[in-house]
Amino acid sequence: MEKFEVVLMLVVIIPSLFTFSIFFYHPQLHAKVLDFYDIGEINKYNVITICIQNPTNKTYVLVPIINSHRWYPNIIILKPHDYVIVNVTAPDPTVAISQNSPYVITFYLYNTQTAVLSISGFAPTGTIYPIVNPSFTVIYNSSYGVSEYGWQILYNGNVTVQKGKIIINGTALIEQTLYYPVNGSIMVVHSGGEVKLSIYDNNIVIYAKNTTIFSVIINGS
Amino acid sequence: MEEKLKDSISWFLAGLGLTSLGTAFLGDGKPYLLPTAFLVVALGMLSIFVRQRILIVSAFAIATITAVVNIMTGLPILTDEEAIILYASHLFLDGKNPYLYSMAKAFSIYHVPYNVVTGTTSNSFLPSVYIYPPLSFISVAVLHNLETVNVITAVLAFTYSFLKRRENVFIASFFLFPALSYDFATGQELNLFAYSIAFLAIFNERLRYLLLGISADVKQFAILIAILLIKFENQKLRKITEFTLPLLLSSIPFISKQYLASVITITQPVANQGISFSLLTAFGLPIPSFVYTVLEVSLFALILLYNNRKELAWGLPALIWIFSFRDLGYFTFYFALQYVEWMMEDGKV
Repeated sequence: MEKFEVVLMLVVIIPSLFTFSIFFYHPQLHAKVLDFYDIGEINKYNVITICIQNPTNKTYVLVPIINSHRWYPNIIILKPHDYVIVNVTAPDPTVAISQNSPYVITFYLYNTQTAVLSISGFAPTGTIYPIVNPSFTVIYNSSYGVSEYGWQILYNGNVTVQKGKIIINGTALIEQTLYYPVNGSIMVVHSGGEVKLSIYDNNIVIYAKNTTIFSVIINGS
Repeated sequence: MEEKLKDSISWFLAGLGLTSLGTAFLGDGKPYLLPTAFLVVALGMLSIFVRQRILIVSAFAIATITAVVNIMTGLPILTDEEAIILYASHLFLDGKNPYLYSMAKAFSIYHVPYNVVTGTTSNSFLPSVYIYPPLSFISVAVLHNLETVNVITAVLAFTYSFLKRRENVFIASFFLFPALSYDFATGQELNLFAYSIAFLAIFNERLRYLLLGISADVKQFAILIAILLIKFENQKLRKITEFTLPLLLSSIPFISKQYLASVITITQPVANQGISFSLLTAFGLPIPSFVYTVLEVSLFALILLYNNRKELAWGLPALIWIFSFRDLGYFTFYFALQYVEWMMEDGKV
């Protein structure tokens, strides 16, 4: 074997052996999935309730990434010797988790490429029961802006879409076709102006006049 | 015996390349693409056994027509890279410097499906930095979309390799680096543009470093190849100048602190995206990301130091992807070129 081949073998194989460290790593934080929910009956799990415990003296600012995709909330603050129960929400139905499919939930340290904890497994199978707890919400906007995936905006006047808000000078019709019929309530968070809302089957139509819309919150029924 | 084996491999992989190309169209949900896309698959499979150049040429011609029809009938935005490059090209056409703007707006303008958006851990939630060199958005600004840029450069590379009687090795690339098939069919990324130019660099020793420089001006992959190759050249300074010329010329209007940070160091905090050593991070091990960078750089330095075979410079950079933080995905760029280099040893200009 040539010298170069020996060098390559060593520098590839030796670091690769460090993957076995996964068997010896015991994270300082602890987390457990309490339940999976299908809010709005999209036939996928889009809300996961997780309990995270922090037995250390440090405060952690965590970001939840599920199967390589960022989920809400934006940050989870975990104080020393405290625990939080958090509803982690899919920002969009396309990244919700199917029944019986694998998931890896990684908690990264905010604004870094370093993680401190992960939980993984397979999403449960079986009949998904309708949600009875109305406090769950699926928020269909955020930093994406209201014109995020799926929102159609028909307008007469000036419409400016900015991060997290849409400013309407004049009138606009904002439409969204959801993946399911809307049974619960819908709230449009806005400031000033006039906002009217109508729902037919799977469609939400928002009439807006001279206002700034921040978010559209759909409550599970 | 060796020639016969080489010949069999070249027909076999070219057939698989066409199959990969045709299959990429079949997933587009356009019924009118079915006949021609299926013909590409069928001709590709046939050419493995009926070794006639006309089969390869006609199958690629049919694939090109199918791609043109696909472009003309409209395609959705399928990746975040596509949306970001399109947005940057519009900023460029408006006379703005894309490196100074947040790319987050691209997502609301182009309605990118969330499942193809790269996860970040920063406040912006979505990728917001333009990380590609300038030729990426300049080419798209000129030709309107990524699909057209990819198809034109692929046709150019195919024609050149056909004239050198080596079209089989180019077609095999679509199998060896599957992202090329999707780029040709639906223009999701600019890998095919960067690859086709690097492919031409293998053929043409005289223009090699200039071509590698152009390829690296689209996506940064070819930089690693050029560094490994230069070691074996006599006129090092001249080759370095040739390589850096395209990047320097196209970068002048955009030079800024943000440009250097985004194109050269790629500092955006993205989450792990696939299968590589960094799965350890995805599984929660608190390994700082600089460890991955150190491993990549060390491995590359050792390759540079110890490699004494020039022809391996094309494929060896693939190895450092084992330790890439983001994913393993793009290592096939180098392996496809390594295959071409091995097949081309007697056919260079």
